[in-house]
Order: sequence, then structure tokens, then C-alpha cells
Amino acid sequence: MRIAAINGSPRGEESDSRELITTLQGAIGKGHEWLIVSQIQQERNPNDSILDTISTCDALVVAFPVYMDALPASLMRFLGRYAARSARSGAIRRGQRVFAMANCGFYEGEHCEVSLDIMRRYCESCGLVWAGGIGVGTGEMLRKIKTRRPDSGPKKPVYRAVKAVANAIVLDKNARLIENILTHHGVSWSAYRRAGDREWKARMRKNGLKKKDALARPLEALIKTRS
Amino acid sequence: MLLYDSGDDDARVLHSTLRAVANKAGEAYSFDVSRELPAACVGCFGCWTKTPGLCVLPRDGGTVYAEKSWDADYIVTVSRILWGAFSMPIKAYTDRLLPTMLPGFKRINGMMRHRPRYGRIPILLACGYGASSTAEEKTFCDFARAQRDQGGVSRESGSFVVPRGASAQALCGDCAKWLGKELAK
Repeated sequence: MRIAAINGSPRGEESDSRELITTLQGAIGKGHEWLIVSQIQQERNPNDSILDTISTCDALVVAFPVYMDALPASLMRFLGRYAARSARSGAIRRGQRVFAMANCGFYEGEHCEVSLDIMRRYCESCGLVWAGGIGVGTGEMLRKIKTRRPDSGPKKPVYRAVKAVANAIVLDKNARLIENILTHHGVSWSAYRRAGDREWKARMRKNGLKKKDALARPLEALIKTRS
Repeated sequence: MLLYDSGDDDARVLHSTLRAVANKAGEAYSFDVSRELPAACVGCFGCWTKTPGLCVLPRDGGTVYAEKSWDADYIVTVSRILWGAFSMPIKAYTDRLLPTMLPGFKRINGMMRHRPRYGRIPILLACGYGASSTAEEKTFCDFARAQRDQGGVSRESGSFVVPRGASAQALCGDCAKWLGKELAK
């Protein structure tokens, strides 16, 4: 099986979306050919030949973070390029299956639901085969606990969802998820919120800022300028 | 605040109709995305952890949009529907509103959301056109509602869609009535 994966995160290799792809690669195992494409790298250095290579793959996986309840704008541009290119190449003719793996920094995987719908409409609009997706809440944990065992502890629910995608990809060339899977890591809402707060504060301290600086309202000064 | 793309005929027609309604309701301002395509948000969170409240990307249209829209009561986005979401140029602008949020979380309508930096966020209304299917129209309404949920305003009526195949020109009257009702709530 030849599998293409688009890392739709503008953060590139240092992203939770890339970590989801790595987890998927582990869940699928050896014996398959992979093509990993970074959309942000393509944004900076567009190369249409990579689009042709993606279109020859049996399955396409798009992993991305949810920005303002949808796909990041830069990923939309890349997918638009792929749709235009694949209309002229083999992906549509061959009924390429598209899977999506969305993640968001909020707790609930439900925040990814609309983005998965958008991916489905994308496939419908350009003739690709929508094969389902997963929406992962608590996305900020993906890289934080990446060294832990995938099939136990807090990673277990997310790994199960990724494994479902893996199974559908390799089962046969027509297999797809029965329905989208929305999930999050095995932690409580309040523990995740507290961990998030600690993380922001630590990053701010690193940048020489204090806790109260986080609440700054710099744009209020513009009201005076306007009047 | 009305966000629209003057390079699109349907957007121009709908915008001028909506602008007239907004003018009657109060002080209205339009932001035309066709002037410039801003840099896409890269999710670096620098607007939270390096320069709180300000985007760290070089100043461009996205910066200006955040400056002009943060204290609006309403943002009315007029957009061609692409895969059930906003068009790419419009989305590039809306992604750049992250500095107007705080990194901390709170529960809004049972779901985790970010706290607004300025006490509240504008009510986000959406007017879409040019969908290629009724499924896209439904996804657009779901998407627009999810965005409104950020501010805790779950108005089902907050979206207006020009149905597939219908003319934007012909539906201007309905569109004006819709916005009039929304602004009166």
C-alpha cells in the first residue's frame, strides 16, 4: 500500500499533527510505502510535482490542527492546489481515499467535528473518496507524552482512534471508517485545564513576562487614536 | 464590522445591502479582503506568550483587521462558501484574531473555550453564498455556529445562506431582513 500523509500544521515537524502521523505509521507497521508532505514547507516553496506524487498513492491522510473551528488557511490553499492538480491527474480516476486526523487544543474532540465535515465536503467537491476521520481533543498532549506507550495510560483512547484509521487504510483499497471518531486523552477536564495554565505561564516566564502580562489589552489604546 | 471580498460580484452585491442595514443600526465599518492576502497564522502562540495581545508576524492586513474589529459589537462575514467554510482569503483574516483571545480556558455551553481578552468577543454573523451542494450549506451553518459559540452566543439564526442556484441579487431583500432582525436582538 502506498500512503501519502499531509502534515497540515503550520508548525511543521514540531507539531501535534506530525505526531499523529508518526503514531499512525507505528499503528500500520512496516511493509508500506509512505510519502509525508509538509504543507507549510509547500507554502514556502511550492512544488507541483509533489502533488502528482501524492495523487498516485492509494490513500491520503490529512492531519491538521483546528484553527478557529476549521482548517488553517494555509492548509486550505494547499488542498485547493491539490484539488486542481488531481483533477488532471490520476487520484480522482482511481478513487483515492482520503482520511482526516484533526486535533485541537481544547479538551473535547467534538471541537473537530465541523472540520471533519469540511474535509468531507472538500472530497465531495473534487471527486475524491471521503473515508472518514478522527477528531482529537487535548491535542497539546500529543507531543508532551509522545514517549509513553501508545496503547495504555492516557494515550489509549487516542491510539484506539488512530488504530481504527490504520486498520481501515490497510484492510483493502475500498475500506473506510464507519463513522468519525471524536476522542481525547484519558485525563480529566480540570487536570487538562490546569496543565494548560502551567504551560502558558512557563512559556511566558521563559520570555521574561509575568503572569499579569498575559492579560494585557494593547488594542484598547487604539480607541483614543481613532477618536 | 463587515468583512467581505470586493473581488467577487456576489459579495459586492450582498455587502452593499448589508452595509445599508448596518448603517441604520449604528456605526458601520467595512473591511475588504481583496486589498491584500495576509500571512496565514502559524499557530506559534507568540501573541499569548511573547507579545500578549499582539501578533508577532510582520504587520500586514491581518494585524489591521484585528485592530479594527476587536471592539465591534458584531462582525458580519460575507463569504463565498468553500467546502462548507469561509473562502481561503476570508479564513486567512479570521485566523488572525487569535490575539484577541486569552490562553486560559473556560467552559462555555458545556465545552472548553478560550477566554476573550477584552471581556467579550464580537457576535459573529455569517452570510454565505456560492455553495456547490445543500450539504455544503449545512456545513457552513454548523461552522458559523461553532464560531459564534466561542463567545457563548449560540444563535441558530446567525447565518444567512444564499441557496445553491439562487441569485444573490434576488435575495438581497431577504438578506437585509435577516441582518435587521439579528442586529435588533
